[in-house]
Amino acid sequence: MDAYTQLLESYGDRLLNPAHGSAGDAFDPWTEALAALAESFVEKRVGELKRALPLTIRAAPSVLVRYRRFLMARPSSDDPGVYTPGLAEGLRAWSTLRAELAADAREAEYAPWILDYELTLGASRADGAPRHLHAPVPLHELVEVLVGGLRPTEPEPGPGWEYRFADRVRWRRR
Amino acid sequence: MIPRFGFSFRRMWQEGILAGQLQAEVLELVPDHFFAHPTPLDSLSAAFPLLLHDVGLSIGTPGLDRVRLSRVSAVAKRAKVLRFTDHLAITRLPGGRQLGHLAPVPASRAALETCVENLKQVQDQLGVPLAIENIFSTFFPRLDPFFESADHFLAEVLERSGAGLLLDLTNLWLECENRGTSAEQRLAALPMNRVVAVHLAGGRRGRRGWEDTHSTAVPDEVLGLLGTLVGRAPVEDVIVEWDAHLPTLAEIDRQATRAREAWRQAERNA
Repeated sequence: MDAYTQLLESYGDRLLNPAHGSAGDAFDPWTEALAALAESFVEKRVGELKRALPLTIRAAPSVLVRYRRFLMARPSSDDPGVYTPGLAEGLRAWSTLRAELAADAREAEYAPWILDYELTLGASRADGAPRHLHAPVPLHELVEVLVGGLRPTEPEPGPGWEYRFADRVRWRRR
Repeated sequence: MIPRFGFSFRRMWQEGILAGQLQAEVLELVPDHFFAHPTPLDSLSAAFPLLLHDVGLSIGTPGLDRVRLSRVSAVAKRAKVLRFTDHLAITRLPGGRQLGHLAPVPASRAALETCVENLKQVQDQLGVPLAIENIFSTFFPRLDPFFESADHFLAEVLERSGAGLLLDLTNLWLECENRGTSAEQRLAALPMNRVVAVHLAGGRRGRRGWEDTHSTAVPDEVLGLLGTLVGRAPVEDVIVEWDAHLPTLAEIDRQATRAREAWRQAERNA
């Protein structure tokens, strides 16, 4: 690895971690500025996730705090490909966010399913690949309430619904 | 010569754009929006002159992302773009890790050589005029004292590569506001003969000073700076950017018209 390449990797270590601090390298004079820039990168990622998952965040506002915690533990460094940066991060954090929402009794029981819905729909719209989702709750009804700016009440349990995601969503009762 | 005035394309405005009746004369596209869904490029290119503006080539990183460059090239060709632009910045590390956002290139001789070589390769692949944009930054990682400032480093890259300058007047103004320095004096020191395009946008005042949020209307002060380019720079395109809290199509079109009026007023005053 040549000197410039090595230098950039050190630079990147600081930019992917606001808490990096001094390292005794060429970038020490800009430690504070680099930490501020790294923090701004975190804020931008949180903002991008917010734009990608508006309904999930309306259903469970804690998602943003949960995502920030996830991001600090696992800095993002992958190419988003055809996905928006926010959607790519949502997909990357999906299992963690879902598990936390499902385990927290303070969250609506439907919250993890709204997350599934929004990420699955977003991914299918972005990459054109059809996807399916089976849910125990009528997600299309919950989404309609959330789109209207309200938070739904918990639906009655039922036989479940099947959703097919392509350019749009189709569903049927199981 | 009066430039073309337009704005950055967003998909939510597509239907209205293709319906016509806009004052805008040019549109700027982001290639990522068309990697998976390129079909709209055909109708857009039939309706407007198009420019392509990327954020992902990471000009300061050794070893261009050839996969990304191929995808960008495919969009550029299908859209028949008149110019390609990216930033003098780093968004990807040599080992492949993505920063996800723009970071200033640490200024050194090796960085200069890297930028020049990358720009040459981009030019060879795309075959359309190329320009690089000045980013907003709160600091200048100056690793070699030869480079007196970020603008000096930028000027060296332009001189050695032959690329044009996409001058982001908002970024320049925000930096000067944060530092308490004169934007007019800073402009005077830039290689004006390289300024082929201009970006305008609105920022926001945060806890640490002005930020380049691209989420509000273009400030009057920035339109004033635009006027100082009349007769001094060979500007071909002026693009209004708006990336968050998007306005209506009518409003973004009005912002482009507002910029055109500022230019024309400056011409009359010259």
